[in-house]
Amino acid sequence: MAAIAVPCNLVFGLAAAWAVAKFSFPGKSILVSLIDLPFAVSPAIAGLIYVLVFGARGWLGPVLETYNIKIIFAVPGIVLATIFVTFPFVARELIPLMQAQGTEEEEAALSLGANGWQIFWRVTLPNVRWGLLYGIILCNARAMGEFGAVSVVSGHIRGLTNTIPLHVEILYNEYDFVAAFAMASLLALLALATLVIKSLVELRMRLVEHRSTQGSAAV
Amino acid sequence: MKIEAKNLVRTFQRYAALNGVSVTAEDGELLALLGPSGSGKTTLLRLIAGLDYPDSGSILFDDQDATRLRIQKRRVGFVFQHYALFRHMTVFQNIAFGLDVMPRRMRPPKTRMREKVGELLRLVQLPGYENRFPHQLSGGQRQRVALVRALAINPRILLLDEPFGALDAKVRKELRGWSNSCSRS
Repeated sequence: MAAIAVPCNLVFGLAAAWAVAKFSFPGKSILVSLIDLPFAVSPAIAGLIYVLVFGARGWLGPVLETYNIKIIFAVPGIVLATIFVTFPFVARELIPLMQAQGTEEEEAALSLGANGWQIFWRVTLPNVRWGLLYGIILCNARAMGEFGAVSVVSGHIRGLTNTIPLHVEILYNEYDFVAAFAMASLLALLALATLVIKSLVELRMRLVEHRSTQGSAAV
Repeated sequence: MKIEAKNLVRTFQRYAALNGVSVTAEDGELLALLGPSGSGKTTLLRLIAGLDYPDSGSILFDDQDATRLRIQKRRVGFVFQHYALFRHMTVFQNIAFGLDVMPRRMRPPKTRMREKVGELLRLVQLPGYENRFPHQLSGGQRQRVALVRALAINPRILLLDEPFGALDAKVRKELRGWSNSCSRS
């Protein structure tokens, strides 16, 4: 699930952060609120909204049925729920970073004749790469552990639409404690690995920051 | 190249940064804009460079209208107040950037780029600094890198925004003398 949801949010988050930090346009504050929405809304409600929209008796249910597309109680539903819940991480990480860096380097690139695409790939993206990586890690951690929204849309079909946290719950409810704790340990190990990577990236980010503040102090 | 600005107006929200400004700079002329901070010097330079567009009024380059011309077509060198060097690139990559982003058929070959950057660095007395990063340079050195980065694309006009603002008096004097001799040659 995380393998699909994280790249999606990488693209969405980067695009949203770029739009918010580097441009001003009508409706910007609405976009910022929308980015924060998943933090405010309970994941279970997010899941229910998906059921309402895509479920068999939902708004798009009959349409989807005629084309034989399954979203709720299938993998697409879980991916969609995960994308919604983890959406803010990348964007939230990047917006302050991009705002702090301002638009001077982009303008310099523009005055040197670069086009929009070149500016993005050669100037904007390299400048936020560590922040981006950090956002991806947080996003990935949340995607692996998400329970509420996924629980509502997945239908708990073992081996098909089950994620690790859901499987832990099923095993626990069946009094299969050994298996439940084994799965939980696996999830905990994954979380620990993520934490280690996160700390390494943080260390690296601080080094980069230290370097650039030291540099500007010399001006 | 002759630059002519006529009745430029640029308003931010309700505050008029420029209100009917006209300036003419003859070909080969070295013109300095003086004024207290907030008087619109930067705004005027940004309009001439094409980083921003006026609400009304026009800009002429050699008597041809350039008011709405895109910045990439103006061939203007701009040195920013805080230099705006690309912090993740070496001095070489910074200076070569303008050449590197050219369309393939106009882009000079790698060896020619290397020669040109070396030449430019010697010009500002920073030979051998190709592989340094901006944070490893002093303020005056950064300034000179920003200057030759703007010169590398052979601009028709060179615009400097507060070029000596962030420097101490000694370096300022040196650079002023240098930029004078540079504009004469």
